[in-house]
Amino acid sequence: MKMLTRLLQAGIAIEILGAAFFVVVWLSDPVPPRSDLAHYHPATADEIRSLEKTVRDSGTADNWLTLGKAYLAGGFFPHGEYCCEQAARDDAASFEAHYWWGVALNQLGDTSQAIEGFRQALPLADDQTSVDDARARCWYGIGRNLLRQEDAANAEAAFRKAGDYLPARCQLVRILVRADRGSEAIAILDELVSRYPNESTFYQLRARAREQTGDTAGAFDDRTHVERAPDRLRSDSIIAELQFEFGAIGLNRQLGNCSRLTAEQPQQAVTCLRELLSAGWRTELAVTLVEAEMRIGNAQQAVDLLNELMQRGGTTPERLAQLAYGHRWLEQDEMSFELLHRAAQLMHIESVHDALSQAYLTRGESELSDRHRALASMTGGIAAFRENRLLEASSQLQQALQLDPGLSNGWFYLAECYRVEGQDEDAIDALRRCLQIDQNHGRARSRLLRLTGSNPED
Amino acid sequence: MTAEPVNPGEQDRRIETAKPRRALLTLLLVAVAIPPLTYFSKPLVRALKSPSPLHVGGTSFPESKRQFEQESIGPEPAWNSQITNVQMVDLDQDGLLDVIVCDALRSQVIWYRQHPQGDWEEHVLGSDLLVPAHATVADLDQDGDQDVVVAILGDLFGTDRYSGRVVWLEQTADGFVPHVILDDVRRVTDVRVGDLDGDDDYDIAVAVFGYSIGQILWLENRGGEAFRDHVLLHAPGTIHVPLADFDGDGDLDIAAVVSQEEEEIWAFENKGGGEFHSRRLHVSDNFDIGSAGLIQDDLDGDGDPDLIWPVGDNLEYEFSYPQPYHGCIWFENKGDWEFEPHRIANFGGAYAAAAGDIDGDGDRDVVLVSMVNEWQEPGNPCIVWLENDGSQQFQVWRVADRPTHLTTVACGDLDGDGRDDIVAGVMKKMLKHTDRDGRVVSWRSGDQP
Repeated sequence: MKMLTRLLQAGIAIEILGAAFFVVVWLSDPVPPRSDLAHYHPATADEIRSLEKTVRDSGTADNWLTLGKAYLAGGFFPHGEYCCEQAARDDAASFEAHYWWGVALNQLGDTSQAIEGFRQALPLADDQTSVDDARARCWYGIGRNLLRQEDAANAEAAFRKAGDYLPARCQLVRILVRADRGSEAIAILDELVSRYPNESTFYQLRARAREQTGDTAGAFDDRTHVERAPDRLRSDSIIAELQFEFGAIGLNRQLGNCSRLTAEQPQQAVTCLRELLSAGWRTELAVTLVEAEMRIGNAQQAVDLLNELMQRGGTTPERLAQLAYGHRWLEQDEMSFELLHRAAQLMHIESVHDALSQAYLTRGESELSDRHRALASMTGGIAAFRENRLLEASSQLQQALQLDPGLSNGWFYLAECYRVEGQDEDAIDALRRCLQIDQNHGRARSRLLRLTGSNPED
Repeated sequence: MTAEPVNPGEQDRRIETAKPRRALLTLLLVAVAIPPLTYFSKPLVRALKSPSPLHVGGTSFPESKRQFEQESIGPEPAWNSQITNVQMVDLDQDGLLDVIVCDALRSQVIWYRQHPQGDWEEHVLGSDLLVPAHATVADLDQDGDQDVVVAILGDLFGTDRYSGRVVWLEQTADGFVPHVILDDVRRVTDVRVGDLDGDDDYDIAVAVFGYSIGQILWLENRGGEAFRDHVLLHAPGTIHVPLADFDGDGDLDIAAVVSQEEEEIWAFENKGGGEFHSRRLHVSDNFDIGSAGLIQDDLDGDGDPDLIWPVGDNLEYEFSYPQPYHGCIWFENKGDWEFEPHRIANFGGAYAAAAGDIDGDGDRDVVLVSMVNEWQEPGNPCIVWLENDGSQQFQVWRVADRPTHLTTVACGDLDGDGRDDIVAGVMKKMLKHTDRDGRVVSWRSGDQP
């Protein structure tokens, strides 16, 4: 018995020593930082807390990285930096961990360390599925941080190393243009414009580069083409990556899911959105819920929510228009009519003018109905022009001008359609019509000067 | 039934054998329990540990020795404030400075009339003005009263849609009557009024910020309500277009700050007759420097207007963080269109600057406000003043650490004590908030103990 007791005592002593060893190890293990989530929507806060717990329970490199990215997406940049650095330490071969550590340092403005982080990630890119892309992301990050150190020469070299990576190409040409190296920039921009014909940034940069080389006609073409290039390049790809992560956490992911439901299962979307909104106010939630409520015919709920939305987030023409549609649904036509007018005064929106045209027709006021139908067509025509759908634009603008020939902007944009199509005589006629109505239309005057070579008379 | 009597010796012996058995059992239990207990105590043990210190960002400064008396102007915010611009102007010309506020949440331009001194009366000058970004007070129609010209952004968030306008609020006997004098433009951030073509009427310089596409325009006053638009520059992100006679030739020139990765300072030299010669005064290679505005002021008191450039706009992402290069740069006008840059402060998230004589010592000081300092660090200021020692060496002092998210500031002597006071506005556009809330706040410059 005594022997057994002694054996057990010895075993326990060993166990205690072992436990102490583990406690020391665990105490020396890094733990996730504490984040103040008080101002976050519970859906996001809960998700971040759950990731924190996962790391506390089992701090693998992957878990650290996931938490780090969530922190960065949620704006906790020091926390994100800490976690990503931990992930990079725990998995020295992980490209993603090193890259995101660089991203975190980039957000903190620690440019030298950020460059170091991206440099450490570079050789690890070889294991990535898309090696070139991974390397380019690093060179882009290095270049961007060199720019923040005002070292344009080395930044240029870094962006060149990023090869075909579009954000880096964009920064490279920006450096060239700002340094008055227009010819070098044009060589790259010509290729970018042919690859991305709807991207406005490249036309803008090429216009400036062409001005530097004395090509004023080319610069004018690019400047005017900008108006018909609807795409917008996200020039800072690091921010784009953060925004992707932002959309993937907590509330934003749930909101995305609900939004997708709105079209096909609006009732389910309403339930889910109401639940999220009752947990915490967010403007985007309310906006999506209004749409879903309207879809299932809950006009009163939509109206109430819109009123709250405008109190909390301000008036927009779109919100006024939605409110008008809500009141119309509730058969409060006068209120709806007034709101449509307010929306139309704030901004031309095709659907609002259409609704006003319909309302005036119902009231037997055909002249005002035609006026709004003309404004609706003009607004639609201008929108089509800005998306480079010139035939559709021409057709809608002509319809508008048939109904109301006093729309100076209608004539101006019709002239632009003609000018782009090479119908200079028609363009000149339309511009003159525009100036007959508004002799101070600056753009019409400058276009006419370009087409006729002489200043239009006052 | 009675229990069998037990011999006391026998009882002792039983107890003696039971004791080691119990001890053995206890030891056995302990031995079995230690490994799982150790394992399951892991989260508890780890919870005991304090995390390592994190990166500390933001900027802090010593507290101002000069006292400031802080008060709110107008109502406290019910929701997130969206004040885009504050200015101090004596609109009713009663000798007391008033405050003009652009409130994007309420879509209004509001006049806080100081009447009597220290009391504020709210008057709405214009409603349904979709995100007013800047209001300039001037007698645009030269009828002897003060009108207000408003830059309409149309949308607080980045977009290239044609939501901008310039609206003239004409003062009449019946109140302020709105006239749209420019539309079909992208987001407009600034309007400044002055005679730009030397014909003795007021023209308007316009900053069309847009988003990725923008312009700088000037509107030629053609009489009546007619203004003709002329393009000065195609560039996205122009924030402010201050007017001054920068070259000392007797006419008004236009300066401009262009942001959105351009990060340039421009000037448009007035050549007379409505002709302008454009000059790029400064280019920053740091595309992220975050131009946040531009004001003109004769900071060194040498008789020519200088430029003051706050940098700290960081709104590319939903959450921002103060950067080490944020702060304020003074461009000293050296004459002949040469402007020498001097960094006069580092201040995380610096979003607006104003100049004034805060301490009443006869030289010009500077006030800066921050939209995105590191608010988690206690004491990090939202507003600082830069004390000018008379030779343009500046000591930065903390004025206050609340309310956070200040985006606009103005200086002027509200109480007529010879020292300029401060008014600032809050715009909570970012997602990360604090409890240090506010809307429009004044700080009256007091004594220095």
